[in-house]
Amino acid sequence: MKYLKNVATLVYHPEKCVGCGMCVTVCPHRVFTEYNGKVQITDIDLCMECGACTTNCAFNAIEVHKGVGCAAAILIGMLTGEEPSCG
Amino acid sequence: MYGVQPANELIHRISVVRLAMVVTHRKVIVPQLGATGIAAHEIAKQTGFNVVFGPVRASDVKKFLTDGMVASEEMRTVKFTMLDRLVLTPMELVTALKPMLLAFGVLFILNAIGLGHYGGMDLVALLGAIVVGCVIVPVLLPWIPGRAFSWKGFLFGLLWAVVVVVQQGLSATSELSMIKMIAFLLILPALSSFLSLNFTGSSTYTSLSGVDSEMRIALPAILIASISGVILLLINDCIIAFG
Repeated sequence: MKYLKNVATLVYHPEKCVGCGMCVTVCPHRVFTEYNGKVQITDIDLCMECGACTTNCAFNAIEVHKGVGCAAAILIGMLTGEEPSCG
Repeated sequence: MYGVQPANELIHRISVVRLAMVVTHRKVIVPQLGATGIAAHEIAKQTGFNVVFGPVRASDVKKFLTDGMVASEEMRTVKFTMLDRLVLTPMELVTALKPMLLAFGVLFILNAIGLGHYGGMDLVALLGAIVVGCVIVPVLLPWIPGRAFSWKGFLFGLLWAVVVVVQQGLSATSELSMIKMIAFLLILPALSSFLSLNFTGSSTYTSLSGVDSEMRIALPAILIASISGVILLLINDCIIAFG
């Protein structure tokens, strides 16, 4: 299942990538595949911004605005002026 | 943000139980979905243990181990099957029904003071919109056109509203005025849309940016539709009571 198009904040910096494949392992939606000794993003629209890849990239080759894709959390965030959180 | 910091907890546990003295190997298996809070390289640096990310589902752990700590693509993928969605719906319903009891209470008071003219069919209409948003849309999620949850809820809420309006319009005993009909067409889809939007929190594939972007459009629309609908209902009540 895919969510909205062109909204994910995932950014990949191939020049920093050493091809360890950790992002390929941890991504729950298989956004990355190994390619030519590095990785490539196969479908950015599958990204749910969980942040597993960026947390586990020791070389800072991946950036993403990590968070919960939850309307209630965003609503609470809007009301309290804080980052969206499950409370 | 989430209470316990998983990485700190893991480092703490490895240290407290003196894991390095208990086992000869230097591997610790962490569920794959723990990777959002655990940086394998940090754990290795601080404890000397190498994190091996296991499969997503615990039921695959046995196969993962017999395969030499290798997880297949299938074992590494998060799913959201119809059964997964179905088991979540009772919770959605209970959460939605609590505030709705308040709404039913208001309708009852309006009736009691002679201003409201609400009956069983109105209750069915509202309950139906809740069931659409909390059960029907989540269960049929991948087959409903569009990607935004609020849109899916609006679409099926509108279908339900049309069913209600046609059914009440055809009923000989019903006193469905044009104003009330429009109010239903505004309130019921808005309610289903909001409840479907709320299901993003239970889903396994929605992103913060995505939900944020759909909410910017959906929330004002839901608010305007529901407030206008409530105003129309009150106007309708006043017309019947005083007109």
